[in-house]
Order: sequence, then structure tokens, then C-alpha cells
Amino acid sequence: MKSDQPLHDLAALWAQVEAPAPHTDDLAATDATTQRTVAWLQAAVAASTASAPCPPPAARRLARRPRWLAPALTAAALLLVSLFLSTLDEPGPRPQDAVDLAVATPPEPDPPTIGPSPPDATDAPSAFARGLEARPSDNGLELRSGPVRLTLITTN
Amino acid sequence: MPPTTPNPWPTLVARIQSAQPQAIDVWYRRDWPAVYRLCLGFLADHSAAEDAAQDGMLRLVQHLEGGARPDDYEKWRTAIVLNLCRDALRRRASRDRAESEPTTRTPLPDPSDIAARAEVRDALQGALRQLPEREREAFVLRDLEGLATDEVARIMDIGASSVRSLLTLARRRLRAWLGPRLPELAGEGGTP
Repeated sequence: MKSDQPLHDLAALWAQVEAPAPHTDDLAATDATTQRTVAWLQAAVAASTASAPCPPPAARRLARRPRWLAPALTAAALLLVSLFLSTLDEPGPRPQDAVDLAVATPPEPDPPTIGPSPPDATDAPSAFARGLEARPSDNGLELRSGPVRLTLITTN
Repeated sequence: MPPTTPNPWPTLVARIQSAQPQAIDVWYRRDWPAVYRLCLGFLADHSAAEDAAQDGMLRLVQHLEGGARPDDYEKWRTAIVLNLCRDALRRRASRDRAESEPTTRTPLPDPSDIAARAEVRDALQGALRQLPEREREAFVLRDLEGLATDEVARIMDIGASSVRSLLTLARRRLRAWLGPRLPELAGEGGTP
């Protein structure tokens, strides 16, 4: 049928398609320009390598580090980190032969009042005493007033 | 049958591992040019190649002092250097943009001309940068280092046919980039 002719023509063209030459690793099978290009690059690399000085001292010194050094440094670093972390904990008992006092920040005085005094002002406890609480701690006495803490540590 | 050069590497490796004095010095002087050359080829950058080569030498000696006993020292070395260079390429920002056109058409200098050393290096770097990473690896290992296709395939962990494909593509790009600048030979009518 006439309508199939284009398909036949296409099939005929398809049958004539030539596959490209398979890729080769053989440089001698390439064209002259490619061979000369590669030859130039080979010579350029050889020349660049010959002109690159051998830098021995630093690398050799590093290469001569003793094997035990790295583990020793790692252990030392871990020890320092653990010591640092331990100082971040709540302060433990001070040395046995010392009595230690933490200096408390004095509480702020009451602001001056304007106008009549509150009816129970004379009988009410002071602002300091109102917020103060005392309680025994493991090794002494702890006084708290809001954010301020005074710790009295005694030794046996 | 020409006499084959004895393989020096097993002896050198054994000396390093037995901590013989100056064994590392001897090994270093012997191996540095090859390691640098590999790095220059893979990285296509002279200064990066120097840095990478120093890292490579350090890594190699650490492996050797750790007891590594490669069956084929040169192949083993090449694989380690290749991995190191691949890491270096991944770390640095991709500055190796392939240019669509060469920036110059001046004839290439003679690589043996000491006075043109810088120009040779620039041209070499520029050409290698035209290659994508895998093509560059295949080209360096096969055409510059002279390894067999099967050896290249093993080092790159790909098939031999892939090596040939990469090689063909690499040679084609390099021909397009450098071919027009090759000095004409007597009796040759220029590049096609």
C-alpha cells in the first residue's frame, strides 16, 4: 500500500545505519593529531614532575612520630575533658581543714513608699526576713533568699 | 629478552617496617615523583597536587608502618592516591569549569624547554581541567601512567569497556582543546 512506503523507506535507512567504531584504548589506532596531543601531554607531565622539588622535612618529621604518641595524646585529651566536666558539677565538700563562707549579695532595700504606710508595716517582718529560709545541708547550713544563697560549710 | 629491572618495592617496604634507619628517606625520594605526578594528573592543579602529594606520602607511610604488605606496591599506591585525590576534589569548590573555547591559540611550547616551564604547566593544567573527573582518571592512568586497561579498570572499580569509553571521550576532548595549538610538523597541512 502507498501509505506503508515511508515506513519501508525508513526501515531501509535504518538497515544502513553504521555503528560507530568501538571505543579503543589503543592510541596507535587513533588519528595523528590525537597521538601528538597525548605525546605532548606525556612530555609536559614528565617536565612538570622533574621540576617539582621533593619537600622532605615536614612530611618526614610527621612520618617519624612514634606510634605511641597518638594514643597518649588522645588519653591526655580525654583526661582533661573529664576533669573539666567534673568542675561543672555542684561544688562538693571543700577541703577538710577549712571553713568556707560564700559571700551573699545583700538584698535590695525596699523602695521608699509614698503615702500612708501599710497598716501592718510596723508589725510585719522585714523584707529580708520575709523571704529568708534556712535549712541544714549535708555539710553545714544553707540560707536562701530568692536567688541568693549563703552556704556555711563546716568541717568535722 | 631484555633483562627486567628487579622490583625494588618489597625490599623498601620491608626496610620501612623493620624501622631501618633512613629507609623512609630512601622510599620518600624514590616515590615522591610518582605520587606527585598522579596528583597533578588527577587534580589538574600544580599547587593542589603538591599538597595532595604530601598528604599522600604521609598516608602511604602510615599504612606501611601499620603493617600493610601490598602484593603490587605501585598499584596499591595508585589506588590510595586516587582515593585521596577524589576526596580532595569533593572537598574543594568546583572551580574546574570547562571552558567552551580555549582562551589562547598560541602554539604550545616545547615541554623540554626549561624557559617555558610555567607556560607548559599552565597549558597542561588547562587541558586536564577540560576533562570530567572520571575521564581524567582513566586518561591519567592509561595514557600518562601507562597502566594496562585491565589494571585501570581494577583501580577505578569499573569494567574495561567503561575504561575504553572514558578514554575515547577524554582523548577527543583533549584533541579538540590542544590540537589546534600543536606546532605543525614539516609536511603536515595542519590539524584536520
